[in-house]
Amino acid sequence: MNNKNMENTPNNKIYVYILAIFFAVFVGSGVFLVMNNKKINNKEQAATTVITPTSMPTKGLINLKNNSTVNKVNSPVNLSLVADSNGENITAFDVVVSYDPVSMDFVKADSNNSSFKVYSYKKDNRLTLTVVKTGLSGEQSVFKGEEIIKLVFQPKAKGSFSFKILTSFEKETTKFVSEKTEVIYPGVNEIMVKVN
Amino acid sequence: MKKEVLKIATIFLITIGVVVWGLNYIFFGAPKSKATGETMNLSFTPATATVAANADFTVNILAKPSINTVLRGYTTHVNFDKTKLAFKSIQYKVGVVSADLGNTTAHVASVNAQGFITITGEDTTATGYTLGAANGAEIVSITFTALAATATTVTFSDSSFYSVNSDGTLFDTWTIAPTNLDVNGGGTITPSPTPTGVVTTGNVKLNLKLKFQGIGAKPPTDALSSMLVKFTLYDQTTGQNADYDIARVTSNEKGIWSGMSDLTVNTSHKFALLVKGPQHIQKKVCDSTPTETAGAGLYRCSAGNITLVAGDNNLDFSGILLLAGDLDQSGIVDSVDFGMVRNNLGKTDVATLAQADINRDGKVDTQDFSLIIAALGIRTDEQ
Repeated sequence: MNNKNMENTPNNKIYVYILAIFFAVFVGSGVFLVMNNKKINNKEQAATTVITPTSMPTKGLINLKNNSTVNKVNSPVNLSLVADSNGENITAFDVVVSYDPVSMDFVKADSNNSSFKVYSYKKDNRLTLTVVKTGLSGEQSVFKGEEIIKLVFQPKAKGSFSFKILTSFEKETTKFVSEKTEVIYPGVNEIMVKVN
Repeated sequence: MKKEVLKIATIFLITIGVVVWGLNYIFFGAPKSKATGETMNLSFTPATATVAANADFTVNILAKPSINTVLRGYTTHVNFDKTKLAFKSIQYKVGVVSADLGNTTAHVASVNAQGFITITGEDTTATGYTLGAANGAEIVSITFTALAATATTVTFSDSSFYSVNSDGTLFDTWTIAPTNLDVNGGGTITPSPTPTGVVTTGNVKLNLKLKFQGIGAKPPTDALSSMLVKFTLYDQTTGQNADYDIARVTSNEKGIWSGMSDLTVNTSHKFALLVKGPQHIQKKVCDSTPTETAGAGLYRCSAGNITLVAGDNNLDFSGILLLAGDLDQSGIVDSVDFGMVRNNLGKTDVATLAQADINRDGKVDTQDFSLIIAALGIRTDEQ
């Protein structure tokens, strides 16, 4: 009898309401968090569908590699260009290399692939190579990390010298051109060459 | 007891609703409407232009949405009658040009060859560009040259705008409402045979004769036997470019190209003329009747020695070769130009010929291939 009376007292009712409200706040916060999580996912999807920025997204790579273990003044320094065309069949490519012309003389650039011919241009502290596929066969030219160009420089002084592939300089850019005449901007690098 | 349960359930549900709404309001602000079913008005300012022959005029493209929006990108084609107007320059005022997608001033030759400008711009900032419904915004500014004082209309086509909804999703289904630009009263875009020259109004009129590398006879079609060439007068006295003009030249049976250009210059000075064809490397010419003794294409000069008088001036440059190679008009011959020829060998369609048929014989072939390889040895525009 006493217990029944206790259950129906106004105080007990308030406790029940408060309990319901707390539980509702708990559930409501949970619902909000679930909805919010979905919204974040939506935003992530939207971000991936927003117009792809076309300013120099890089694919593949063209990197410099030092092939000389010991470099001495007046002995040629042999560098090479390593290329990965990210699965694309390449028709031609340009590479802009910056170096110190006071301490290094550019001697020559040769292609390791007989289908490609190298045209080199020196200006100020830059060497630009335009490498074109002169062979007219339908043979594919997909670069997969191989050494494609040999570069020879003649050091004139001792020291540590930077060779850097520039993504662009004035009108010139480092790029691949594919068989569909699409321009592909590769990742590039910088190396230091020590001359004793 | 039932009443109590109903009460508690009602309080429970209302509280959940209040909590969810409240948290949303706190963290994301008031709900905003999406742009679904909205209109983007696309027009030119000014909407009409009255232009004399060979005069330049500039119009802006105004984009005005029906509701405020955050713009991420836009694309449209501006179509013009290439026999009546020549595209001269473009400036992107909202965002930047989308590289390799939108035309820039560097694409003058190809735009004028095809008769439409592909405008593609994007805002790559974190916030995007807020485009207001009240005034809209001028997204692009274009300068044309009227080739004659005749009526013509400039239109839009293939337009899309990309904006971001309040919930972060991309919206690109605007209903585009375009308004044309009427030039000299307006008319229809009807491509017609190319004119033989340009009516001129400057104080100096140049009657030009040119010879282009690889072209020894009149090309087989009207389209191929006419091209727009840029002429820039370098004032040797002031050391600056005095004026420039884009003029149409046409070929005779022997492959000598003639055209007229007018420029406004101080006739007491001496000049050099910089000539750049649509697929060519820019050549600096310092004499009125130059010849080359060192070999074809090897004419070089330093100081401008051309004197001009008010009215007609005959400049016969047919004694020197204007070398080909800069097919994309970037100012240098590089792997892109080479790729344009090599990747299109054997093709004969109009669009490809306009880009890669260097000798204008109606086919991209090994002769064009040889010419582009030779051009790699020249490489850059003369300035």
